[in-house]
Amino acid sequence: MVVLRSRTVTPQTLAKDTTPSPSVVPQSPAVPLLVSPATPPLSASRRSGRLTSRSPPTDETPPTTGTKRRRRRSTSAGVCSIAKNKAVDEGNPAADVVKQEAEELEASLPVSPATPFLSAHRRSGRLASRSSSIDGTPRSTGRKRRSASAGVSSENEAVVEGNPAADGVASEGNVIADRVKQEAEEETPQTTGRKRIAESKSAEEGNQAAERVVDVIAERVKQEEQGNDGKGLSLVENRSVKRTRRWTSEEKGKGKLGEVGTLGTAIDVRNGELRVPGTLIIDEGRAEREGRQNPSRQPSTVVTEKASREEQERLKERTKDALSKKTESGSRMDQFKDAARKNAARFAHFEAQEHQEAAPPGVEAAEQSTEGDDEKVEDWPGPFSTAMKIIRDRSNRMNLQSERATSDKANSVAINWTPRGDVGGCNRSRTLVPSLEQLCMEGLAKNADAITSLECVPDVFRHRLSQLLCDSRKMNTHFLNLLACGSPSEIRIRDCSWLTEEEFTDCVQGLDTSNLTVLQLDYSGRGIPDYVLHSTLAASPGSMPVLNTLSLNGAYRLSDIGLRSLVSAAPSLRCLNLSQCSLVSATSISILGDSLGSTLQELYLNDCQSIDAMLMLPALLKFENLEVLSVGGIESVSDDFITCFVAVCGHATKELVLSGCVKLTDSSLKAIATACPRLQSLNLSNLRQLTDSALGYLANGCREIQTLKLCRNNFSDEAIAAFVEAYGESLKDLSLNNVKQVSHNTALSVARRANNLQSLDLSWCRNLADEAVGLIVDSCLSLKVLKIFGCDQLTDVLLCGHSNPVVEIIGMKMSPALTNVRVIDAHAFPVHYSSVLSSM
Amino acid sequence: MTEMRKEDTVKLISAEGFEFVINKEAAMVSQTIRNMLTSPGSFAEAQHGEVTFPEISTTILEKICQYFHWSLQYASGKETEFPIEPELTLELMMAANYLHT
Repeated sequence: MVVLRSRTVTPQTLAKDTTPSPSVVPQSPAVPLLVSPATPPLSASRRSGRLTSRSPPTDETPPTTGTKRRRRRSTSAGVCSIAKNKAVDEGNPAADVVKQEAEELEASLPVSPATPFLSAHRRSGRLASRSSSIDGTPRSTGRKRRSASAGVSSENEAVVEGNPAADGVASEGNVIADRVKQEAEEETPQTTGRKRIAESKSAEEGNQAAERVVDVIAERVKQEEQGNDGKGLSLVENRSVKRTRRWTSEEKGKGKLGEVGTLGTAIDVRNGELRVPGTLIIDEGRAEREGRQNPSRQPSTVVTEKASREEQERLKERTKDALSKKTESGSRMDQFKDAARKNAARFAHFEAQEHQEAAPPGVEAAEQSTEGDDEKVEDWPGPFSTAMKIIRDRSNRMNLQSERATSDKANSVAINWTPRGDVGGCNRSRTLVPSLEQLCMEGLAKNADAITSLECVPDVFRHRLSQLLCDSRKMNTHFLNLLACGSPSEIRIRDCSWLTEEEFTDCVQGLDTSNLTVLQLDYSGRGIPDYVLHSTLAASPGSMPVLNTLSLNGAYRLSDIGLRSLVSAAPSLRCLNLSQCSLVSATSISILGDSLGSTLQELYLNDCQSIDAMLMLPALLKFENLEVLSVGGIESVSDDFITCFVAVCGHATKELVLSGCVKLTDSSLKAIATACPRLQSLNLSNLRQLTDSALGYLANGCREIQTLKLCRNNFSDEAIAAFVEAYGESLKDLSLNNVKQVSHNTALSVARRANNLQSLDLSWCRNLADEAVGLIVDSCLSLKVLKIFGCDQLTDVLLCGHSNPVVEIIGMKMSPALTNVRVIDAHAFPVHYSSVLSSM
Repeated sequence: MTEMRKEDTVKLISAEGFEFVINKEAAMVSQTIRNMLTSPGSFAEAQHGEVTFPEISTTILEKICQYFHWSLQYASGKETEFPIEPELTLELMMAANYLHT
């Protein structure tokens, strides 16, 4: 039980207080939020930056606000972010503030028992508030920043502290945190700590109307005296899904940062910040975002259960927002502004018209040019060209008949579909009875700490359970140890952002890796730096003899050296995921090429910012059997790169992920089509320079395409329709997210030809009305999932009128998103194209 | 309680030999059992109306039968909670997976 020692805090007191007491004095439960700001129980040790202050898992006890520095852990572990104390002698300027806050809180909120009270110094980067302290109820921990004078309403509290707003990845945050850590020595005003709100199982919660997430780290950083150029850097390094955030003006304008360490200043800052903390609005789908918006001022509800790495995004946003405010500390703001400007372009989605570089133009121009290009493509005999001709003729005929403007594509082709169901009595009972398996899973997840052994539980269940725990932020070392018991064959943890170095070391040192075939420790940046690897996983060459799949997504502290030792420890690797490892550079690829050139089959390098495509090209060419190459987000990928790569390795390529490699043009598609006859999956998201001829090339060259992911491309309706006509039968997963021109032609083609389609994403295709989508749903009998986010023409007529018994339609406006959705089980993990068992 | 006719029931036999006689409709909640009882071709189970589960223990099988009935109740509109004792959960989950329910 965490306890607090309460006493008044003054700077002098703080200065004198040098007794690091590891535990806090128990305080009367009656005053849950009593602040005893001054007690820095872990002063010296804090400095080390380790989250040693992590208190042992406690039951839900009254929050001990006093522990500024300490975040209490809830039963399910999770990481406490420890605010590192800044030097004790630095005093706690924020102490008073905290005190005020505490009092205020006391008065207002019914604090839920397990609300850790974040101490002011959240400087520690380990805002690992990632721990899921939430057990179904949002822990409103954290500090509320409110100044007493503000008289803010009680709603503000909800900050779930540690829960990283459902962000799994701490990586970005950690980088920043590290930076913050560096500056920890400096005197700066204390921040109240960060507030994070994670809404876990938000449905149940319902309490606060608005739960806001405030990312203190960002704030803190902003408050740093010195501008962080580095911060901008880190942001650059850790790019992630785009999200936007909205912050109130106060949030952003931590204008008054200013002075260091004086109590008065701190209080000013505090007071200035009053108000409602910003709210975080996270968009679930990256596709929906087009550019950033200015933060708004009103609080709104945050919904995030699933996380993705947003922290960085948020930070960036916050920075940007902050920058947009004029503040007194002009120079720092200028630095922020510069950083934001540098990074903004990377995140914005420019409309095609704005794009000044090579080619493709706006929509209108594209239409005309496609005519010309298509002539060339259509000259080649093939189903694509035939289809294009037919479609064009059809459109023209319809237009002539109806004498309507050609631009009104929506009406140019007639679709006959009548809803057959009963519109009134739409049987929503299709949301069904929860299955017993699911119920048991949930029960297990809730009581995960009580599980004593996972022996005899097959891997499939372990993975599902692990996934469920990660998603609900309950993953902890206890479960990790359960997974590591015995001689496990597969360990998959989707979110290791809570894992610290010590925990990782402890767990892995006892791990018997002789049977380990799959190891997935995603977002483990915090816990896996190079030196730890040397003593654990990569202790000796060949220590993981049968490991064929390794995923270290988001291991931002892993560098080339660490990778070298890992590779020597795992000689039979077939699949390697190094996405978002910002320190991995082209050297690593050379290492991989030298040692795994003949065996590596899948390589994922999404968003690895330190990799220069052309530099790694020679190494890539050494791979003889590379089936999957994923270089999404690496901007240096160019046409030349692709052309050279596929010329050498194209014969084996089955999947290419090129999302966000904005320099690519049609010529690379042409190269791919020529050289990759076995291509099965292609991701062309956000490639705005592609035109219809790209589709033409693809149709003529890659005949086995099963998965095609398009997002924000500029393809025309006819071209897509023609492509589907040509190869629709083999398509299993088609995404036309935000491909604005999709309309009736495509719908007709899909309905007619895509008999094996299992998953279709038509989000943001606003030209589609009920008839079009209804036709698709009724005709594609294999369809299991249909996503229609943002399709504002669709109504209940579609939902109730279609007669497909199996399909799940997701994204209808006003319907609860993703509840009761059973998504197709994504293939468990890579190496899905070739069987792995053979070589063992 | 009205007597159930023989044709409407099916017998589920646990590892220890306990026999649970339940409504056929309830048993059909499990896809596995449904397939056994309704697929063409003469499964012995279909003919005798008995299914044996040598890997499922009695307590678990009992809980599963309770789930069947709860599931029918839920589908008919009456939505309640299905309580599961924590100590059963792990085994129950694996049995449920096997029975595809």
